[in-house]
Amino acid sequence: MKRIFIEILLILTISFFLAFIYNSLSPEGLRILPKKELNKSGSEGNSLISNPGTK
Amino acid sequence: MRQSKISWNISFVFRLILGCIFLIAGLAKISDPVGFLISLRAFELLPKIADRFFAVYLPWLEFVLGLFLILGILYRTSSLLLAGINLMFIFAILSVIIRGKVIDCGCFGLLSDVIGLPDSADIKAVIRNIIFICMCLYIFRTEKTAISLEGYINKKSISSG
Repeated sequence: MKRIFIEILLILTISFFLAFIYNSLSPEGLRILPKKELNKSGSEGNSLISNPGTK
Repeated sequence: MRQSKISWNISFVFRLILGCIFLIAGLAKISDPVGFLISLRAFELLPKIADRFFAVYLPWLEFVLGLFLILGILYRTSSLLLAGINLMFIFAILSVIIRGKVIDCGCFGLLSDVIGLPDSADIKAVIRNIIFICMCLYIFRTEKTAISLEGYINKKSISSG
């Protein structure tokens, strides 16, 4: 039982670090999500997703 | 002995099926985090800060669990965790059905548009998740098998030691 609990924690931690690293490096990560919302509400913002034609 | 061999093989096939499904579903969502965030928001279950976190974290968890199931690393725990995630999905979809909303479940992310996989939050999705839970519990129930990286490493360490 204890072993399963430790293994669950290990899997959750591995996933968390992978997600964290990917989103630190990727332009489509968590960082651009607030910008996307800003664009939706009409405020200024510059993201690749909301403006697919821009570089 | 014979029966355990059969159950090992069934468990192995279940691992491959579930592993492939969740690996692909995870990758599809990882490639489109904003799309998955929009799907999550349609459920109206999570607070705004939490849904951003889940939109990024959940696809990676699915990806890791799928990979572990295929490779056979910590696969019994992975199957248990996957059963828990599927149970969570069932509650989310049932809440949508009860509220009478018609939305996409976001289960397969971009793939649902590209190759037309089923993606609506309806009773079919609930049944699909129940089948996944049964498969997960079967994998968890089966004792450690040799058809896994974990089993292979154990075997090697016993023979060398």
